[in-house]
Amino acid sequence: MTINSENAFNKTKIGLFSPRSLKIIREQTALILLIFLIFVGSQVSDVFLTGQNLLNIIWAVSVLGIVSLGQCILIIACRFDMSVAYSLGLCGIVMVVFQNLGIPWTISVLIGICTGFFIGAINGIICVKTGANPFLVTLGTGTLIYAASLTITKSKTVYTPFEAFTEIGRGKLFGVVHYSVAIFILLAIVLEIMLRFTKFGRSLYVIGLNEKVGKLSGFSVNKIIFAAFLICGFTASIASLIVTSRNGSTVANVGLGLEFESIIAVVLGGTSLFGGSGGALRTVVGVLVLGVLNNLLILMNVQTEVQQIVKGSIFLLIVWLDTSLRSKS
Amino acid sequence: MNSILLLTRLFLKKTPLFLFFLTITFFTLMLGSSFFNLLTLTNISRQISIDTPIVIGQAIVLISGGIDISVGSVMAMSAAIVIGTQSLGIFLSIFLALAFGVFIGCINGLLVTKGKIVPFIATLGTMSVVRGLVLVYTDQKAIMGVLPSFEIIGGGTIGFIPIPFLIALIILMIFHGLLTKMKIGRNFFAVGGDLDNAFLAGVPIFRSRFLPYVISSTLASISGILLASRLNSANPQIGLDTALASIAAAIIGGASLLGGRGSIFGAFLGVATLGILSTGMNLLGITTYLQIGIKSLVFISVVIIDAVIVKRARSAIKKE
Amino acid sequence: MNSEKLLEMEGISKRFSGIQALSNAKFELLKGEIHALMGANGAGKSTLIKILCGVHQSDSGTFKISGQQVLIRNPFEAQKHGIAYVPQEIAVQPYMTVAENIFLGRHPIKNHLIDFKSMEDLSREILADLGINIEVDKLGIDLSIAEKQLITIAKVISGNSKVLIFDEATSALTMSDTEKLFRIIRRLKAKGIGVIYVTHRMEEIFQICDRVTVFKDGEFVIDSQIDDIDLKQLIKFMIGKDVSTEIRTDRSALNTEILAIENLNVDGILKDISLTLHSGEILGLAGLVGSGRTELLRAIFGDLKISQGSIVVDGKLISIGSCKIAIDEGIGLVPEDRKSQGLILNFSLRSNICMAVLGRLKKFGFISTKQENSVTQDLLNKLNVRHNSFNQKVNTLSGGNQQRVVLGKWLATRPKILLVDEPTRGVDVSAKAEIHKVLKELAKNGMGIIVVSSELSELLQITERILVICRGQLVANVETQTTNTQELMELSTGEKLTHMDKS
Repeated sequence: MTINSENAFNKTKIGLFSPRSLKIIREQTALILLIFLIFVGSQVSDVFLTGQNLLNIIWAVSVLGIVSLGQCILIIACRFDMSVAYSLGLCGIVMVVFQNLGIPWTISVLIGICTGFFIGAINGIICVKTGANPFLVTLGTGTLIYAASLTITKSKTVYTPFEAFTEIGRGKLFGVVHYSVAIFILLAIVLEIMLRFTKFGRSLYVIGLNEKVGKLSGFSVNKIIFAAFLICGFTASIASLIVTSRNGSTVANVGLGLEFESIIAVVLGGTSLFGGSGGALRTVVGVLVLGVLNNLLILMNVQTEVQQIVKGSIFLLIVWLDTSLRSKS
Repeated sequence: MNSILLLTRLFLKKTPLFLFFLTITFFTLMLGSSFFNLLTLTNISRQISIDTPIVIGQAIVLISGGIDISVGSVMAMSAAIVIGTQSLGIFLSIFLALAFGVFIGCINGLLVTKGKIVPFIATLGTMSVVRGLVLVYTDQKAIMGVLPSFEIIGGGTIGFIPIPFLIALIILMIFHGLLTKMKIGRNFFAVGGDLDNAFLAGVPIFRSRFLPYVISSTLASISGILLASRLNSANPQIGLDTALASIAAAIIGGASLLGGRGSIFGAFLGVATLGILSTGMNLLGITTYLQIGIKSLVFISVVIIDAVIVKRARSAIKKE
Repeated sequence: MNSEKLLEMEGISKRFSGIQALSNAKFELLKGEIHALMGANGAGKSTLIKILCGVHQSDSGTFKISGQQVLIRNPFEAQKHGIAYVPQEIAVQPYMTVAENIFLGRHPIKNHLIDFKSMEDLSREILADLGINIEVDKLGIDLSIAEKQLITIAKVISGNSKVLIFDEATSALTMSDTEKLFRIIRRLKAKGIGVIYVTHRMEEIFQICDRVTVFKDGEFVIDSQIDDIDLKQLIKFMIGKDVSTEIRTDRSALNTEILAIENLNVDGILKDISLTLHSGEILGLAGLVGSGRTELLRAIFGDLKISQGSIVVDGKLISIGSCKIAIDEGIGLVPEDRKSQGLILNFSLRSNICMAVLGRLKKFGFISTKQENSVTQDLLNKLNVRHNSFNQKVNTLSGGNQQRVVLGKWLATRPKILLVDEPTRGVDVSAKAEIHKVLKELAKNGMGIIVVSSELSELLQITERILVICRGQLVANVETQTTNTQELMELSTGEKLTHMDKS
């Protein structure tokens, strides 16, 4: 016998705040916000729509974007990775350190990517085998990674000796599209296809909502969750590659705040924190919103600290919206 | 299976004490009198005392089935407020700092109860907002206090007992009493242990889940005030690793991420153990970076052990 | 015995979105009486109990407690009127003592502090009064299931309790625990408390109860003193006239053995189960709730760990370590609870139907929407699922249609063996008939099917053979043609009534 009285059916409210219209707003929040922000931007600052500024937005967005894509995969399966901020540092540091040891930069990039996979694997194994809370586990591994980064770099900036390496972050594909943007868009498309058209992708949605149904439908739940962590580790390493090569250097705390921002971007884009919904392309929109917002705040000379307050508040608002919509369905 | 559970529980019960003595013994052996002397011990006890309120608060939240990772930011903001408003008089500045703690606690409590937001996420949000507030308020710089008399609270002693230690002791007694001898406290355990059972028993659910967050933030404020008073200054780097450390200390002390269990004195032993670990590592000359690494390993281990042991014990009963 | 009437419920009706759960039901309880409430699944027992406990309010009828008309709007009011309920799912605070568990929410206070001594003394008294022998300082986590139940009784019984309701109290108890429980119930009776005892276990009511009321299909059937009735008659009242069994005339000759299970054991749940299934055969599994039928299906499907025994599928010895393996070997499972185990309610028809076969619907390595749609179309048609579009979410469908979607999900995997757990639970009459038709059709085409059902008439209608499971063991293997609901029920309740003293 359950406690809830079955007599408590929701009275359907009509108007702007009816469950149905709220749902639509929620589904397209990111797009609406994006259009709104672009409009505001064009009014508020003359610089906003200039080529250089849009470039800045795109550059900033590709790093956050790639990390957010990986985070999105995990969130669909109802898990999280709070270590991405520090992975961003370590993977790049590994690449640069090996380069300074004389190893060709291409190989160093591979080693850096392996580092990303390795971090993802550790996170995955712990979360799957022990069933511990992924938030806390990854917060812990994140701090560990940070310690490793600090030890290696001794808190100093490390520089790449290879000019060619910086091409990845700064150069353009065919002289038109920046490599970083191309990689971001490409990853988004690949992941979206994976999510929609592969068994693995589909299984993530099922597992995010109901692991039991997943198990009974023949999915290897543990393996799938582990793979999701691997993907997130991988994306963090790619993002690290871009930011490191763009700056020509990197530092241990380069990714500070990124774990938080990536979650914001993912949720803004329409992926629910409770799992089972959302997608890569949606996340792209969420990332764009955040990128434009960041840019606007900078243009309006809003200090970084205030930016943090704004972002934190948006986060809470979005999460509250996500939660209240979920309890209505 | 039963004997394993029994052994596990015995271990868990005595763990804080065991770990505490283990840590003291270890460092005494390694460092001898450079560790085990009055000055060092006094300093350690001062530092532990400053951290105790915040850990107690975290333990209480964990007991009620929640978690609060905004404690570090609240600590920093309260420290900043108490220093920044010092010109208004010590009592007023302390009041303002505490009021801030209560305020954030209420917000956290509402987000979790009425907002139905998962505690980790809710407090992640407030953590970020408050940290932003700290940065704005301090202008990203360290700020200094103007009234030297403020330093007495954090730096003074009565006899050779540091004042913070006495304050921590009082807080310990109050909350130990609250949690073991008063209905309100027992209700915290109830909602964390089995929410349905608590509801059927008539335990006031909202109150029992809301108050722990208010207590946690207020205690974080107290820790912030004590810390600020030590050197009559505050800086934006305060409390960056406090959230995780307080969780680790509380879990070492017997609390669980699943709620329903925990101990105030255990939490104290937990923070004491971690405090000794910190100081000991300093004296051993271990680099800061390595220290961060070791502390994160401690944290990860604590979380894993809690998940494996306690989860297994809890699901073993449920399956029956 | 004091004949004061504690409860008088008359003309109680209750309707839930289209289903008449109770219709003009009545129930009476005297002081110091142990009164059994019986009926098959869906008979309305739990609805009546919920009305008693204030979880629901009846649409019509009178409800008197000790002669006074009452209106109970919520569980707390029910408590105030002296109605105490011991649920089937027992929960105690794991890290609190027995004493504190008993007094949670109403600790005795002295000088603003909890009076632990008082609490301990009082709980000792309460336990002693009830004849329960448990130390008050034991932790909740250390109690056995039976002990937890006893503590729950001690907790819900308070000064003003008049009525105590037990809901499937003994489903998780051993024989000796049950005896202990009965002793305590008798003590309560001696104190004048009225006990309502809801159970599926019929031998028990003859051991402990004074009176029995039977419900069937939401209606009151009979109210009799236990001494005036016997098991056979009771079953007859619960089940009604023996449904004439449509014997399957359209079945093909039984073919090869496609499933052979030998000495299957699952620790603590199943013991030495052996059975064989042939292609084209529909095998029924009967037994009481909790007897292990669902667990047997889960074990075959790889969802439950087998401690001993072998499974041979189509001549091949298989170690079914996971559901994936089971599916690969051609086994499918339609689970008991479609909402939490069979479907993702928020997902579309198409997603749910194709969920188990995604690996097969590929073109150039990617899932082909075209193939998904054709599989979905095919199955929705075959199963006659009323729908608007493939994108429709399954939670918008009726129970019957939802069940068909789950069935479709598994038919898509083209299984050799289909395990079905409660195929028509929560399904309306016409959908039920259709599902039966589908199952028979599948068998005719060579599938081997095992059906678990609590509705004996259903088993009689669609199966060739019926196995009866009782407390984890196989107790009978009968040809459907030769048996009836009466016999099946008798077999399900265990060997012929063991003579336990009703002292």
